[in-house]
Amino acid sequence: MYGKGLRALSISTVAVMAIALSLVFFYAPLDAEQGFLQKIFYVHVPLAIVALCGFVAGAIMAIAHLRTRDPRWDMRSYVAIHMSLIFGVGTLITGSIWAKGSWGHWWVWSEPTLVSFLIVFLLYATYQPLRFAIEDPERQARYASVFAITAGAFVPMNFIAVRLSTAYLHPRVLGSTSNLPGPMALTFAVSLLGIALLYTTLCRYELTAKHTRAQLRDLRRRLSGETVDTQTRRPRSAAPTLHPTAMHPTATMTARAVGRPGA
Amino acid sequence: MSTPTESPHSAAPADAQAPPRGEPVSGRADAVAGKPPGMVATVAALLRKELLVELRTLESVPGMSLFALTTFVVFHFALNRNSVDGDLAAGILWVTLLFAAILGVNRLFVADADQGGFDGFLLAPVDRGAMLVAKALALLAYLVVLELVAVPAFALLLLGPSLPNALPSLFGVLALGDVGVAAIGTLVAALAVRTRARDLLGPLLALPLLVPIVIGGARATSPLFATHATAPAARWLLTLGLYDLVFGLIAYALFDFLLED
Amino acid sequence: MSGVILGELPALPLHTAGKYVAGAYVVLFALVLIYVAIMAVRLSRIERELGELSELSERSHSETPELDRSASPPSQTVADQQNVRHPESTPA
Repeated sequence: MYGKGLRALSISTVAVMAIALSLVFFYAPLDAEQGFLQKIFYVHVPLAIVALCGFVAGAIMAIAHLRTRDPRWDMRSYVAIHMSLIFGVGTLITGSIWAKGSWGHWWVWSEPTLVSFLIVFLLYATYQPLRFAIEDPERQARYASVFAITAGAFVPMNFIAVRLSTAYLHPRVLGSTSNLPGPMALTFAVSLLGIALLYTTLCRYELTAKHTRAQLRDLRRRLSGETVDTQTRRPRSAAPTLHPTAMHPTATMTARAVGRPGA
Repeated sequence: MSTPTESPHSAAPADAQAPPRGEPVSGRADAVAGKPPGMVATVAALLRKELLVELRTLESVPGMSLFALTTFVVFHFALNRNSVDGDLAAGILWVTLLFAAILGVNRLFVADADQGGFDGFLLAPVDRGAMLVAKALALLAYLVVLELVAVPAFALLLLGPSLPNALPSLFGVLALGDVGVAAIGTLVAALAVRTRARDLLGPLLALPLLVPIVIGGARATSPLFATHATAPAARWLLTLGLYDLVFGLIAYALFDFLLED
Repeated sequence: MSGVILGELPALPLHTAGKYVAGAYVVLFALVLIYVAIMAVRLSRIERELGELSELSERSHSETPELDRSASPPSQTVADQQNVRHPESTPA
């Protein structure tokens, strides 16, 4: 049951985000160099951190999928990567806005976080086309997991490499989280927590929706199975969906993930 | 395109007990004695098959080399420069080598996928990682030959400063980069070959993964191409080495999962 | 620990930096709202499907079992095959 903790999770997300936003605009002091523009830091950097952790989490879930062959792990990996990709887009857009505000250009190569994110985004943007290009659902899940693990290992290495390459060009202005004064550090921590909760809530929401659709499909099959054979008419899809019997605690590993149009 | 009759992957589905046809003599002796061939013997056999196929069909290396030469000409016209040095030279060389390598990566598993080579290999009682190692070594060999053609051509066509003093260091840096390209290229090739849009997905997957190698390689090479050549910074060599190691291990660990069916 | 008091806010250069900060937060808001919209579409689709299914189940309950069986013998075997196939599928 994915929906079980959803209410508590979403309520705490709202609460923490509200506190974070109040802290950002009413409590955190103004930055000496950048002034009011620096407030973007409290949304840009948490988005970046949460997206990166999400990609790594997707890789860990993919490892679990390859070890246990449980399609639920593939589903979770898919959702984590999907959501991280969206948060990554948010990182790029907010970072670009910040760059425009402080440097005057919509893009700066001197900011390693932005550059690394661009590369990571380009890599994970191939995740969905890769899945879509494989028809057999079991192989799709397996290949996607291999990709997720490779890409997940790539993310930290990419950051190191890009940061090394820009280190001597310009001092880092936009994203440094080190030596923050107390009030700023507190605001940052609360914002980070809020964005992390937002990510978790949205992922859980997504998983619940997919599970619900899978149950509906199974119900439809059971109710109308005598007249309609839905197996053969299923078109290709990139999104994994689950056979609801896989959700049952006593289900064996024989439950297969079945592809369906973007649930 | 003909494949030699003695290649293991053209063998008909064989009895798992009997050795696949085309094992080298040592492997056959092992199998006759009842033991499956070890890792080294398997890799050697597969590598020999790869190189033989390439020698007879010449489908990858000449194409890659020609592509590199043509790309240098294109760069001359695109940049409107007669000679380049420093950062620009390092960049042109690495970008050209990268895209030529992608061509080789695209072709790497195509024969196996189209002609049932995977099935034959899967039936053999050998460690499946051997295929990864053999293919990666083959790709590495193609890249080395590519560079033996492309680097002198580059020196001739576009490079301003003279090359001879910097050559050993240059080949060292290129070797480090090649290992990484080979490891990642082989993994991505295996991933992409059995999908629908294999020619498109291969490069799309490989290029972002290869960016850190370009970073390390180009940064390490650019002092070599400066008017007064200096040694590459150790940090880039370390980056390349670390990247090669990490992705070599990851590729080896994950390859089995790609071959399962 | 006093931080910034509410009254100090108007002293900020809002006409320059304010646009960008607002833009960045609007992006976050927009992302979440777009997701809400997508989920709303899905929810209405789920509701519609659920309605169809409950209608379907009412119809199959109101008909007698004999009528059902005689109506479609070939498809029955398809359903049987599906039920039989499932327990037999084993992992590699």
